[in-house]
Amino acid sequence: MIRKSWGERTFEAGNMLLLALLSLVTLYPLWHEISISLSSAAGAMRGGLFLFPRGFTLDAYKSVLSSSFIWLAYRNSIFVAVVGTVLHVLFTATTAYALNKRGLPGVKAMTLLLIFTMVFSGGMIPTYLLVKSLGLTNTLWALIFPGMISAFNVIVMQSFMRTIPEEVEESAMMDGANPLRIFFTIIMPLCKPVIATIALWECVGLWNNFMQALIYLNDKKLFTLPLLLKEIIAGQQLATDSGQFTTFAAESAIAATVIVSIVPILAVYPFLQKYFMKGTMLGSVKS
Amino acid sequence: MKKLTKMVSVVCMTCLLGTLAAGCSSSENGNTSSSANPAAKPVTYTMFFNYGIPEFPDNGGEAKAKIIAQMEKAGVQGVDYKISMISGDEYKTKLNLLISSGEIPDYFNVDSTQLAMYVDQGLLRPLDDLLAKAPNLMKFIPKERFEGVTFDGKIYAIPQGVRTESFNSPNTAGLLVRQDWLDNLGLKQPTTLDELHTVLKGFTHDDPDKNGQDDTYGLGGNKATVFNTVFGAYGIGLMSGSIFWTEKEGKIVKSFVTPEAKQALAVLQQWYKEGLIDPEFPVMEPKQGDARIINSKVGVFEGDAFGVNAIGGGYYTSLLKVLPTAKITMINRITGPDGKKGWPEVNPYSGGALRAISVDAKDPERLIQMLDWSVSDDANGGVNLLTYGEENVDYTFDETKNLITQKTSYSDLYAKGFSNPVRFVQVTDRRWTDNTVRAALEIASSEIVKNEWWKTVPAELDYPDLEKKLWTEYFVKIVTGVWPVDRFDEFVQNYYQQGGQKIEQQANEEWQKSKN
Repeated sequence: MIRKSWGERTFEAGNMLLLALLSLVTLYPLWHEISISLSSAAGAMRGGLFLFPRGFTLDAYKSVLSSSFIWLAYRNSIFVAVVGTVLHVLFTATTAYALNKRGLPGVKAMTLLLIFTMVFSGGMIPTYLLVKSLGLTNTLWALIFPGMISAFNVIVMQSFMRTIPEEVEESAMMDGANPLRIFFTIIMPLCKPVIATIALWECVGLWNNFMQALIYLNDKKLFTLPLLLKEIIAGQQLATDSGQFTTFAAESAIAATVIVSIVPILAVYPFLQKYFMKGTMLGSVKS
Repeated sequence: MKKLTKMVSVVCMTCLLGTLAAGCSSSENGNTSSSANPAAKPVTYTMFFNYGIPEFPDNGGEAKAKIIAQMEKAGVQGVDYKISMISGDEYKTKLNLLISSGEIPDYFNVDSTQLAMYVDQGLLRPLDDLLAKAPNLMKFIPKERFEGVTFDGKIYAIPQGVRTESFNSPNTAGLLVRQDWLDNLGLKQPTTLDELHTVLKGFTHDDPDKNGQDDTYGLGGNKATVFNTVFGAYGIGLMSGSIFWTEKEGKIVKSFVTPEAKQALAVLQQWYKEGLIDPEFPVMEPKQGDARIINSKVGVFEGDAFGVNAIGGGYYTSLLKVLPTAKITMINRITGPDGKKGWPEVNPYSGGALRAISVDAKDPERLIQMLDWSVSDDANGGVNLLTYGEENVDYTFDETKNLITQKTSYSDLYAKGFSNPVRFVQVTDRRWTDNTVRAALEIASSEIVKNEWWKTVPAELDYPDLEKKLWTEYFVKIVTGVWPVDRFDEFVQNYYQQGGQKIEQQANEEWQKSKN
């Protein structure tokens, strides 16, 4: 092992300290929320620095989880996130694959049209009118279909696919595979890292999607988690403002809802993390 | 490989089916809602309110049948309602979207800017002829409140009402004191500024909580606090929403340029110097200010009458959990050296949450009939049912005390389909308050200092920083002793030079006109 100089070691120690501090700073808000969600009303309202829950109680969670709407919202959010991600990845991949074929007629025009959507969007009201006339308002599909292909993700996918040698495809063709089969059995498995990356982006995006849910959904049974979260927070504020009695503070209920709604997406991260690094880096350097 | 292709086709099919199903279900909804009521020519009113109430069921819950039954008993036939709600700024976004896509609800919340805009666009129905047929609405909604919703002589929105009992006054603020601290130190409730000064000194220096530590302050506050008590003791109302106009020698001036304001500032600076005021008040959010109360750090503070409600869920409830012997009471207005006292009034013209009727609403006569029924106190009137649920199930009513005791929590009421979402016209109703709160409300609605002029003059919009920035800076710096009290004269000078002159002139012109 090479001995490090004194300077290097102080630098590393300083670096560690700085990074440790940074991660503490980012971790604390989450910890704060967790502590508040487990605190009693009096504890939560006392404010200040929270290191541990004050007056430990699970009341806030009991109340949040006993609402029938949270489970409905969970179901809706999971449906949107899972179906939306699967469709998004599938269609992004097929688009990218096709647009990479230079021989395809009209491929330039298609690419231009695609990139056009990156620069210009319809704006909220025209998009709403479109979705409405498609009969999608007040369905969960309104959250899935309009954003099913994103130009940016197609480009990321395209640049990744270009790194796959054409000979791979050619040899498959020789063995008698049709294009569909080549796509699903050769290209898709090779694209796993980039698929995981895009899936993660999309999944998080769909999970947190508030604006579209707000605009397109009217029925309460279709509410997704972010929308319900917002309503619960507003409801708690209404309760405090009008002096209604609760055993746990509004703060605790809000914090508990926040925790409940971020846990699933937090749980997905570690599994996709390893692909994530690979996926974003790959395709960035070309030989 | 075949499997994969199959899977793809299945996925595609599901999408297609999904869209089809979605299309079907939305059209179904339309059908059921119009055929739900068997009475002659039933009407379903779509309503859209600015509320965050996740518990309220989409279909109106079990309450709906009861509400409709009682409506029919009272003679309002064939009315059904469908309520959707979203809270906050998102409400506006969604309402605008609904309107621009032609799905305007029949009856919905508007704020004053939206109201002006929609009236301009001709989206709202003028209500004068309808209101003439609504005796209950006219009885409960104060006349002043219609002024803000009148455009070209026509009323376009329904403001909130107020029940006739005196404890329903919109003025609810006052000075709250830790009674247990007063008792600990053997002091009585202060009635004059001097007595208040003594109490504050005691609360700051004499260890009122008997914990052996010098860790308390007399007067608490937060960055929204203006210490109305002290200004009131010098005879002026400083602000409630905006800075008040005070009459001086036949014209009106903003309260913060009067010599009384300077006297009040001098008192506050004196108290601050003596360490009686929580030194961090100018930088604290209201929530942090509440934390000071809960942690027993301050003994006197401004608050509203509901603050004395031990089970209200506010800071008092939390304080009692930390310290069961604590007691918060509201004290009478503090008298100043010249015998003056008071508290600035709440804007009587502000109608609270406004609601308007779409110009396209079907059968608006029936809608207004329903709204009128919803606030009615008559035998089959709707107010109790809508606000509190079913009698003897969700609440009991003691007629002699005029006291309503609720048995069902709000969130359960919402889940059944009662309370705020179905209070079609909001009428302030505090019959649920007990005697302690009513006594506090009695104090809070007395000795009210009037604002001489409520309307905003154009110049105020041209110079918006005068009240928000200039005054705030001088107020905080003078109270905290960074600047001497005499710099108040410099503030007055600056105020007039930077646009105050024009504001005062315009306001006086209009004020004179209104007096003649």
